Amino acid sequence: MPTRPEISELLQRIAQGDESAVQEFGREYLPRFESQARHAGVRVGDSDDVAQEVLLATVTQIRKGQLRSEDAFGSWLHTIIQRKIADHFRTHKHDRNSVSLQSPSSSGNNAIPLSESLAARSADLVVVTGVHKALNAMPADLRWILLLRHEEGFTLKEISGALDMPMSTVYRKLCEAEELFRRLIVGDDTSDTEADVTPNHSSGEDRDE
Amino acid sequence: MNKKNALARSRSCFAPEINSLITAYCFGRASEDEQRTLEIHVLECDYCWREVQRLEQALHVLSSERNLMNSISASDAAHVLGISNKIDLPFGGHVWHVIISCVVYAGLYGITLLMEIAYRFDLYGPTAMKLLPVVFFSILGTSVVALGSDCRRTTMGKAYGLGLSLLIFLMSAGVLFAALSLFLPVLPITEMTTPSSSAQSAYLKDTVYSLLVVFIFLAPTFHFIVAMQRELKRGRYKPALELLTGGKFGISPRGAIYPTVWMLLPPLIIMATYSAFSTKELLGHLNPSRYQNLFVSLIWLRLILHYGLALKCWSWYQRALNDLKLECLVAETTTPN
Repeated sequence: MPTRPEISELLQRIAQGDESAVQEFGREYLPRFESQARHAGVRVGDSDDVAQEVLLATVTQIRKGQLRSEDAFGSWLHTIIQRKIADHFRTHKHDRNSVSLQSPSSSGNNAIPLSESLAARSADLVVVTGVHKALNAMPADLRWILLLRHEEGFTLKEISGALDMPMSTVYRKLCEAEELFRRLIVGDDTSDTEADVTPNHSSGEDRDE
Repeated sequence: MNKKNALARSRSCFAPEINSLITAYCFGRASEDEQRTLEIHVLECDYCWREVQRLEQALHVLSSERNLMNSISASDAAHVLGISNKIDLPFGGHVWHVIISCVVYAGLYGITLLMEIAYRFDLYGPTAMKLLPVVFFSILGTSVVALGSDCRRTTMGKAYGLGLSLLIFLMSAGVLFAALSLFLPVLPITEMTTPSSSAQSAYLKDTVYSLLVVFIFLAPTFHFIVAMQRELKRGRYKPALELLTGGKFGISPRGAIYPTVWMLLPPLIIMATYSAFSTKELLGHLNPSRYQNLFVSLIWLRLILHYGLALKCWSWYQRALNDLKLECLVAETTTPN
């Protein structure tokens, strides 16, 4: 799998002890670490800690020269993430989160500056508007099934009973609805909203440069 | 290279097959292998990472916003719960109607075969019993194909679905009759005090009666309901309601005729009257025989199947029309002008 030349350069700068490269790497990768931690069931409040630990371990290992091949950068990084997630669950045995899909912008960080908080709210509003737009663009049956499943938390069997449809049809339509929802949401992401969706991680510095 | 350029975002994914896993991953449907593959990939692909990020945020909104269900209007509900939304199901959602009707219709042919040789069951019975499954399943199969192809074509917006289905019904009955002509004798089998027709011509007459039920009660009603489901699915509630309520501007969907429930009653009454008369005549002129009882039983069974099929289609049609009207009414009264 190819590694981007710019990442390669960044890794070299980290290895040479460049602290600004570490910050840049963190800005780029912390949200991904958090996302993967949340997907593994780490609670929202803890996922940023896990992400920080992954970052620390990554930088330490790069500086020790333990990243042998940049071609396997993704797998190497993924192994570190999985190890840190496992460490987290070893020390927080009862903290596995059953609902892991929480937005980083809703993690309740009270220490962020007002300007960033406003940016976060504005980004949230953009996402909410996007979701409403996407739902309105969907056929009624797909929209209803998607909402029953993901907003109301109905099981396939419950949806099947509520809508008087066979389970196989409900499942097929749910997959169709999810795919369409993704297309509508992501297709909407070609404009200026792109840079604003992660206000906690993409504020000041990116814009200054 | 400045910092912004150093982390320049790619505009496409270098592994589209992995990109396609994003939906399953974000909605929690991905297998462990898929999850691992995608997680490694998003560590290297900015394009996919942006998609994951954006979809996760949208999903968070989806699971936490409490007013999204308000986007389902009464007209949406009518559409989703209504008969039109079932058009994508096999046979437009009328599987049981199709199965029961086709089984009864195929049963008619089987019973007719036994009936026409009943008076000489000792001679023709063993062969007839062997032919019975062939007759039954060939008619059952072709009937299901006929209705299925009509439904498929009508759903796709083609106008000739009904014609095609009638042609299949006609051809299958014709082929079956041609094949059975090799078995059925050209001599009268049923012994009567009056001159009776040969087994072959009697079978042909019964085939025509069975086809009449299909041509009047089964095929056109099924076709019309599926065509109307298609129209409602396309949101044409107003013209549909106009048609169903007998409005001046009601126009049938392309390739369909609208047989009202009451239009179907006169043929049913005429057929029943004729049957009652001819059956009485037939039973009154039968010569006694050791197989007379078998013959009479088969006649009654055939009549039950014949009128049972007509009544089944009629009552199904009435219910389906009511469902269509209900959906139209709810959609029309709740849709803002």
